[in-house]
Amino acid sequence: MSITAPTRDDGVVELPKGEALASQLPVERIPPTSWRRVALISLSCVFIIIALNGMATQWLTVTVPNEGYRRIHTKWAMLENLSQPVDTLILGDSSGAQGVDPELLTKSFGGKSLNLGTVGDMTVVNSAAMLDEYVRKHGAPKRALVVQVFDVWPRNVTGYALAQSRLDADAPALAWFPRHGDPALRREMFLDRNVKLFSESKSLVQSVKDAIRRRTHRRGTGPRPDGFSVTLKPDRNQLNRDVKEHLATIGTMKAEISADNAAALAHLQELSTKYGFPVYVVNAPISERVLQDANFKTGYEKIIGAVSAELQRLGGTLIFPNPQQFPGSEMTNVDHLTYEGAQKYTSELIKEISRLEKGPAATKPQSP
Amino acid sequence: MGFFLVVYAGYLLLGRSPTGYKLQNLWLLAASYFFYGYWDWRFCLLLGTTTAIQFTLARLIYATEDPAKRKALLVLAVTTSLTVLGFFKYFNFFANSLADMLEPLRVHLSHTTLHIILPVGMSFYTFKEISYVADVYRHKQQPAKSFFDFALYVSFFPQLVAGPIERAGEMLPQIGKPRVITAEKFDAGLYLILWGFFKKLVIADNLRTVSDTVFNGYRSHHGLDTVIGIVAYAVVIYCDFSGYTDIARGLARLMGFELPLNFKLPYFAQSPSDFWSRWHVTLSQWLRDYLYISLGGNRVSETKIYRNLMITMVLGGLWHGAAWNFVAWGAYHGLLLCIYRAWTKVFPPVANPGNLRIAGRIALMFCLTLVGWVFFRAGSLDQIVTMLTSVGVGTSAETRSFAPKLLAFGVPLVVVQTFQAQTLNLLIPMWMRVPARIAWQTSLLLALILIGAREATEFIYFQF
Repeated sequence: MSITAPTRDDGVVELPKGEALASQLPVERIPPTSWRRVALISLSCVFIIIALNGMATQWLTVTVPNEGYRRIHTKWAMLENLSQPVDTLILGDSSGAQGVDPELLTKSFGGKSLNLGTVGDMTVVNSAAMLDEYVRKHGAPKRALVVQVFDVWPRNVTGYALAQSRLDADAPALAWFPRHGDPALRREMFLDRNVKLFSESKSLVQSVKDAIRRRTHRRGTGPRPDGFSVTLKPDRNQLNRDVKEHLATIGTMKAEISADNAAALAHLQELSTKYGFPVYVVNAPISERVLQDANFKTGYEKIIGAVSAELQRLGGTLIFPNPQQFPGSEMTNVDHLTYEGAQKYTSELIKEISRLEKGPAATKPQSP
Repeated sequence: MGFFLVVYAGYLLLGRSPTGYKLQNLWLLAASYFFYGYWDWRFCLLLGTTTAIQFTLARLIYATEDPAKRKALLVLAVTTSLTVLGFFKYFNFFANSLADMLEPLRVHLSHTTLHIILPVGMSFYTFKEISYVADVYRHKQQPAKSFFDFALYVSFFPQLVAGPIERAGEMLPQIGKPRVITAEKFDAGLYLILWGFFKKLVIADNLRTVSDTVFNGYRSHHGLDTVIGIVAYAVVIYCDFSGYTDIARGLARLMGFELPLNFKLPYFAQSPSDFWSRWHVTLSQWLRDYLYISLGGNRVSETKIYRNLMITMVLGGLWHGAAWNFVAWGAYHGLLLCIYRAWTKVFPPVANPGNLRIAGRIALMFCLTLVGWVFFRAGSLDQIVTMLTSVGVGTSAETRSFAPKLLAFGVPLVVVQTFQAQTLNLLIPMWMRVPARIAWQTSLLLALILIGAREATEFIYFQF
């Protein structure tokens, strides 16, 4: 970068070396210019930014460095490409994607099972949209499970997250969503899809840092064809960090269901009633360590209590209001299980579903 | 920015007719009150009332030749302004301080702490109003011909909430005639806005996490961590406040107005008096012209000069906020000015210092400024003492995350400012050749988009 030092011709007095710093105060000297030059500089800057944004979009589309986003894209692609209906549909966040094994469900209940769990940021809104989309294409499944981590319930969905679903804000699958016409939500979705420099800046900055450090990230192998994510080894360091963070933040969490999640729950229940199949909301697994903390336990129980009360009001079912707790040897963080833990969690889930479906209140599946 | 674009579009449209500047003034006045009322509509009532009072009193001062009457009107104007400011800004502070002082004497003062919200920018516009009336009184300024012109001078939205504290003598003539938006002004305005946002969102808001961590957890930070935290705060407060000023001046320039410089590379100051001619310049000049000189300035005995310096700086500190740490900060800088004055009497500064000596002076003054920032940011005397005594070179696990962040965000600023200091031109990056300038401005834009803070915190000086 070259700097044209102001000369006497520019009206600037050149000072002997050192004197500039010694005594005088700086002033603003505006260089002579023309409107054409101003336009050239400004438009060039904008053009370069647009070009860089285009390159970033292309690069992010190909590489998808954000693991969470990749999972969402994969799951939505699985749903879009699904040619045959399934019997058990597993929705919700990544705790379910990694904690509920469709193979076990298939063994117990027969038919086919598919795990479409994405990430917590998508909230229950994504589950409701996925189920809506599924029912439109394939009719009612025999049952749907929505596995959610406790801290998702107070959150609203952002446009940035919702944009990952590939749905437009006015897509039929989101017609029930009260905020689908919200300009702020639409703006965020627009930014996410069109201004990647802004919406995925963290991924881009991290990628540049990694490139400088010549560090390569080992990508996960992705989910199995049935959507289940297998993780064999526990991660105690991650668990420790997570436990610390959870204990620190529980006090800041509101013990309530966000408006978005409440609307999504209502829509899930509406689909259940309309098409005659049960939708089970499932409380995600959790590390036994966090629940040993009395303060955390109180905050946690308040949130789950709110979910339970809302489901009761809607006539829905919450499985595991008393959470399934797991030791550190079976967890990769505070609410994600290893394969071994997932087998246990899914087995318990099957028992609970069987109990519910054998009971008098079991709903018989119907065609749309 | 959306607000500005709407205002700017209207401003340009209204400026098309020959007398368009009058319509532009009314448009800007309406926009300024809308901008201010966006915080709380009641603030507008207060602003409008004080504006009307000061406008009327200034006209009355101008209309009479009777010195006693003129003085009485001036006292009334200043007292009114300071009473309103004092009530909103200092009532609780003095009530609580008095109660605390009497507590050891077992005098339990029954006082009521009122829930008073300080209207944003009140300290700034009060000082503008006072300077206007004082200048009319001193025959330096004719009263504004139109109330709306004066109201616009007081409320002009780019500078309403955090300055610069523009004098009526500089602003009213600009309001009273058509503004010309030249390519130079437009270019410099755009550049200032970009540079201001970069300083605020990229540097200040990112480094704030470091300074907040150290200051908020001062008991658990020692050695180099404390040093980094204090230096980070020095960068944060400078980039935050000067960033705001740049944006305000840039916006004004796009509309053809010229606002005064408020920062002249303050961390390149070589002495305490040099610092105050570079830091928050419009406030320093205000304090000099309306307080220090009114107290007698330099035209009194040496002892009284020191007294005047201390009074001016303590009140200058108090202007920043109703808290003892601001008083202590002002007193500390007053003390530095007094010591420097006494020192230069005995050891006059070298006429043509070498670069090494200059660098030494700058480094020393920067260290002294850092000590001042501890007073400014700290919440208690205990914090001041603890932080200043835990300064050292010892490192911790956190140093590894603090130091790279300070370097990453601090070094670009130092590089740019070194160019500015060497050339004595604050707009030196604008003098680059076109390709280099495009690269430079694109880099600033890119940094803003990629690493600029998403949830920007409020500008620090809004609270004053």
